Amino acid sequence: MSIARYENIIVNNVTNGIDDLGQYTTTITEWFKTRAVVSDVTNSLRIAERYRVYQDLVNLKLNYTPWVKQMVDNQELFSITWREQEWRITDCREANDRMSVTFLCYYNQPNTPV
Amino acid sequence: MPSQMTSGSFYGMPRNPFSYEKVEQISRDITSSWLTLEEITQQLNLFQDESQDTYLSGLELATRMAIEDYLGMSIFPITYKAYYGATNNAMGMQTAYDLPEVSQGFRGQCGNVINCVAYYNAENPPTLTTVSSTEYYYDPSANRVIVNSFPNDISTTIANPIVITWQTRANPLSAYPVIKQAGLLLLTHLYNNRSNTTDGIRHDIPFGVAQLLRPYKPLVM
Repeated sequence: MSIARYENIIVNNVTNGIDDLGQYTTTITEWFKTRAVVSDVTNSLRIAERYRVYQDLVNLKLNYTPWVKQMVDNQELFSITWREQEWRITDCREANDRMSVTFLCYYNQPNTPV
Repeated sequence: MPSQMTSGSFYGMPRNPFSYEKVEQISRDITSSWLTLEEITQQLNLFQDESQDTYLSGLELATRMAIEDYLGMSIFPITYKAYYGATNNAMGMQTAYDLPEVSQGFRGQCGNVINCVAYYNAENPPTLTTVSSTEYYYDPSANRVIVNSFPNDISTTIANPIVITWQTRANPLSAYPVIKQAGLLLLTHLYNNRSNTTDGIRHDIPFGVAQLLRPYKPLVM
């Protein structure tokens, strides 16, 4: 068996609010560092009329702990920093034995003109 | 060796190669941690996820006790009490009493510390009477206590009236990287397998817990 691809990640809290001018704000603060098994790293490109939209997807598998369960229950409140980019959670899959959780995360690169 | 020295009652008891009749653990450390949470969370790739620290601390204690029991040797001090039969020659004669448990000697210190040598006296009911520490000494070469002489009022109604209490010292094995790695392997196994049964067949890895610990298991002759 080869060595599992564990990589360091940071789990962040995401807080949404409204500032004095009525603008929506998003605050990202670090919660804890951990390691995840990284798999199925994909980079997809969609060409719209004027822009090329790159969307990266990755599966991050974490041990099932109380904190990770909080992430499953409120996935919109957390983001994950991996490869120095901030990834948002789109899907969570709990293992049937409740020993691990796999998060499907996405990251949108800035739109690039065609 | 003095010619009058005997070795207790074991010559007539071939089923027990040592001279004790009964031994019991009377105190054991079940709170101090051996592997640190930092080492454990690194091993399990939890890193700074501290949400299971209490659970992991409990697993760590179970792991350490399992390794102590497997080795037959304490990592942290354990206190034992052994009972010995009184032979006719115990009174007024120099007698040797085997201690069945020992830690590893380290930096000039032997593996055991004798806490108390006592005997039940001939009163009715018998009273446990402590022997002066000047009347006995520890023989680290054979892991036994040499008692110069007992008074001649040892109980004849108590089955095993001579009682020795001792503590194994903290073991230098606890710092050996190979022993700690065996501990981390066992802890990972317990963390990942929380049921007594599995659907599939599990296989031991080469150089697993048993193979790492085997060279440190004391031979019992």
